[in-house]
Amino acid sequence: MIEHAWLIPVLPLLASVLIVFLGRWLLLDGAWIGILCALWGVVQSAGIVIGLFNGHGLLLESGLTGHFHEMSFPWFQAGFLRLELGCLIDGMSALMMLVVTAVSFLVQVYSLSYQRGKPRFGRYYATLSLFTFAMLLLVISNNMFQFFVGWELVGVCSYLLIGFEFERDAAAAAGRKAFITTKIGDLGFYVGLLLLFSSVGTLNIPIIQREFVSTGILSPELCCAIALLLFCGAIGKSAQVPLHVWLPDAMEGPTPVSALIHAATMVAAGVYLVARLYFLFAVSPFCLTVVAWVGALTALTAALNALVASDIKRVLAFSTVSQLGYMMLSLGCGGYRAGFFHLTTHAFFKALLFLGAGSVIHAVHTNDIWKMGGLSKKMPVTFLTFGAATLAIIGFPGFAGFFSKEEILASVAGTHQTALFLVAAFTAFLTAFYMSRVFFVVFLGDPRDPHRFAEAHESDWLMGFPMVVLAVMAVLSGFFLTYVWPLSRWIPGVEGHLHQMESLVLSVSVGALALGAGLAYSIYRRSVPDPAVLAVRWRPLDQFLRRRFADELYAALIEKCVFAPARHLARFDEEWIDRFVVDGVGTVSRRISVLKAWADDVLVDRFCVNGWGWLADRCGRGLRRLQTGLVQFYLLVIAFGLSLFLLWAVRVYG
Amino acid sequence: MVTLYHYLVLSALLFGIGLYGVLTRRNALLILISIELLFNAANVNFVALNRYLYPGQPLGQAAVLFVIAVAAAEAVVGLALVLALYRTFRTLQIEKIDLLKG
Repeated sequence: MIEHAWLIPVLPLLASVLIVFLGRWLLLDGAWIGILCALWGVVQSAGIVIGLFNGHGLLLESGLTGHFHEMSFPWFQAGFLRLELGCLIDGMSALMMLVVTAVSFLVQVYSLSYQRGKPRFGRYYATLSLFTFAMLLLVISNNMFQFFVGWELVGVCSYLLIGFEFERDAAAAAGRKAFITTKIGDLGFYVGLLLLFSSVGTLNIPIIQREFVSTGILSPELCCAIALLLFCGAIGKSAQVPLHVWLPDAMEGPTPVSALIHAATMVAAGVYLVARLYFLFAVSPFCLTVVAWVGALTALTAALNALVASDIKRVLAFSTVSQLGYMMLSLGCGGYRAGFFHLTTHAFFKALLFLGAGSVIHAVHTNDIWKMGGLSKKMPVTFLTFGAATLAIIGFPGFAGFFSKEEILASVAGTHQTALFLVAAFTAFLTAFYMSRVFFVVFLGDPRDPHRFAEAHESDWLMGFPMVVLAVMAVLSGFFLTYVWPLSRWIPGVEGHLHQMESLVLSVSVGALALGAGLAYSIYRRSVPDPAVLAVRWRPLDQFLRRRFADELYAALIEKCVFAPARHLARFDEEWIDRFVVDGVGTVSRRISVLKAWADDVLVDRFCVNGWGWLADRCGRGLRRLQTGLVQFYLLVIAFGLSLFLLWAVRVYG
Repeated sequence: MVTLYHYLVLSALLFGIGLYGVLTRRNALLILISIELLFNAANVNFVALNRYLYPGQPLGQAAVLFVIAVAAAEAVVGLALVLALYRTFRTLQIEKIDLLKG
């Protein structure tokens, strides 16, 4: 099974190609190919995960994250640049593959119903498969070049899918924004890659770890520089401050795509990058501090934004940014396993939240939570699964998020940085608040829009099935990975002083949860206040929370640095270049061509062309007299000429 | 004593009379006859020069025989042309035949 791990990424690629070229002749535009390939990926990666856990000696080599299994073949060689395509299977990549394929499979099943009858159905599935392929390519890769290829493909696919409904300007703009913003981060990634290659001469991850980093050949300063440059890429892809601006706008894509992007494919890539190259980051404490603070800032600001968002998908998007910040915070605090743990559990419950939101939107045809309400009666399945996911994300004891979030809090507490811990705890409180708020407003209370409420209905089983599966995962995965198959057995991490903080962490985590959820309950459960009235009463606070400082900063920056100079240059262009240079050249050449036209008419045409014609005509008129048509005349000329010639010959030779 | 020069002068006279005839006669038939004179002027030259310069070699005489044969052929073609001219123009007056006048 593990020997053929390469099949897992290759099959979705195959599916994508098949759907593109043959889809139009196939049932459902070939969507079933993508689903089957993803299902195969789920089965195979589950097999690998089970095999790994039972430890049948599958992992022969040991290194960066415990034992791993590596296989590769050379791709091409140019000079001393050697590139390879390969697989690196260890606990982390195997689990990640399972998450990616599982979420992709469920999202594709869900989309069968959600996207039914929408335009470009086949293209949608082809892109989903390509997206899955790209993510798996980077997850499985054993070298940074392949990682980079997958990384960029993920970016392209996200562009295609976010802007999938490109007839709407907002969707097209959101696609562009996502692509350009992540590309800015990728620039850092690329430079980091070049720096890495120029300093060690290889891009193979285990070799870099074994021979260069752990031996100290690569100096800590260089490690730190490379890690921070690579982290720029992670900032872009995983939507960290200051490049987090694209993710809330990515809501313009179809909802299942959001589920995929937020859970498994796009944003997970950045966190996975940091986890994968953790040995590089861990060399320098400064580097980790940067990661931690970026994460903390992201977690906090996005959670604040989420408090006042009224678009259900937007709330979820802010919460994703916030949770990603959480993961980064954990990674930066040495909670390497905790971050990855949260990535896994978050993938399940966030995918579920988005699918649930999609189901709701499908039913009531609006994104505005203030037009929903009381939907629990109409949509029991969505209500229950969304509820499970909400409990998971706010960290209700026993649910998935509880375990991973607690590990994160423990790792943050372990660094003894009080500020970071306070931010984390406060974010946990905010998360509990805004997620409960959405849940209460959407599903409980009285319907606020009777007309929409009357038309709402539960989604069909194609949408219900993935949600139920994900709900089971959202409930159980945390418990499972903590007690049944403890993650620590596959992914070695720093243990140590975590346990002594347990009571503190536990009380903070449960306290934040109780406080946040309780506050949301007291505000939104009984009588939902009018948001407009609230916004007026708490005007400064409301406006502060609604502001998206980074977006405003970029808008101002682009206005100042790009648009304003561009306007000046445009004026310069119009007034100087156009008027003087372009028009001037035009006038001068017009004059010159008038002159040349005269010369052409008079000198060339009249004298040369007609002159020669006239001359030939005259000559012809003269010469025709010689041709008398009389044979004797010709003979006379011949005789005369011949005798002249003979006379000359006799004179000369005789 | 008849020398080579006598023959050459005879030949030149014959040639001159023939050329005069060719250039001045108006009748196409007479032009043909004048051409025969030109041939024979050349023939006289051939035999005389052969006799005086290379006695014992038959080359000049052979050339004369050849010329006579060619002259016979020429006469045939010439008479055919004259016939064709007459049929076309109903006359043999050579100055009236100037279709190629420019």
